[in-house]
Amino acid sequence: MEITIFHYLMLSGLVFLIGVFGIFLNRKSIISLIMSVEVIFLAININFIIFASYWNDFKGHVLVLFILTVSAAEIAIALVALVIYFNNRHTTIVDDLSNLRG
Amino acid sequence: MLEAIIFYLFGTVLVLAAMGVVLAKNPVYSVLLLIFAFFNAAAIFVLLKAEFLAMVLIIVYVGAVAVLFLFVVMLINLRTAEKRKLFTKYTIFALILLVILGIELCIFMFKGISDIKPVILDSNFAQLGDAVSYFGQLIFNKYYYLFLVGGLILTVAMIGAVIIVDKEETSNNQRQDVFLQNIRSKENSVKAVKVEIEKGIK
Repeated sequence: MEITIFHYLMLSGLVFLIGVFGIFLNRKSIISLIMSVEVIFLAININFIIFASYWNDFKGHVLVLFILTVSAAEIAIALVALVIYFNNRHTTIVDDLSNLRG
Repeated sequence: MLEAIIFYLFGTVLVLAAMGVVLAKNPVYSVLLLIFAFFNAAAIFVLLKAEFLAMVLIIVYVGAVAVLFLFVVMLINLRTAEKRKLFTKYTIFALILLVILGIELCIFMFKGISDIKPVILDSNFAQLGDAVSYFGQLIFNKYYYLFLVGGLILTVAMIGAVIIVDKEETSNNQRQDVFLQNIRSKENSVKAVKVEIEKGIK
């Protein structure tokens, strides 16, 4: 029972699919959307590391480090926007965003 | 054999935790399951010989980002916020899209990419000497500009977050303006008015 590259690819693909499914399932609350995006980031990072290991190339690891950096910055901004939105509207429902103007 | 056991153990738990993140009704449970999924992904990283990134994932992601999530979820009062329903009108749509995407991924993986041989992942990073110091040389020498841009992005994000929150705070808080306070004098703030009888001050 050997673990080949396809096993790892199946794992990361499954996690990616779960993240995409979560985005469509949790159309209601913004915070669940952001968490689904986190799950997708995780799957992509696993995929980068799989192929870095496959090609014996460290550049994949470098790219994963920068993906982590950018996604951390993005999550910080998204959470700040979420907190301000909640303070104004007292809700985190996505559909209410269509009432925003300007 | 040991690798297979570790892979199946952590892989199964990772998939289950990710499903829990998506399906949990309470956002606090979602965040805690997300942390658990990060830990399992770190184990998978170690299996793929990316030990440094596994530690980065635990320290940076679990230590900073997931705790930030937890703070925000706690900050937003869940009593007044809506508990979300599990099955909405979008569920059927989501399932259809999930099936289509899964079929596409399987097609690409087993037919499209015929170049990739199903090898056992056993990378030769050990040849490079110390893998972590090689990684450090790569990001500090060859890709130093990407490193600088990463720092710049984090700085911009931090300044942006602080400015957004700060502007929100000043709208209903009264702040001390030292300059206005210092130029205020008796002459331009107090004046004597002669009040006419039965008319008052306009």
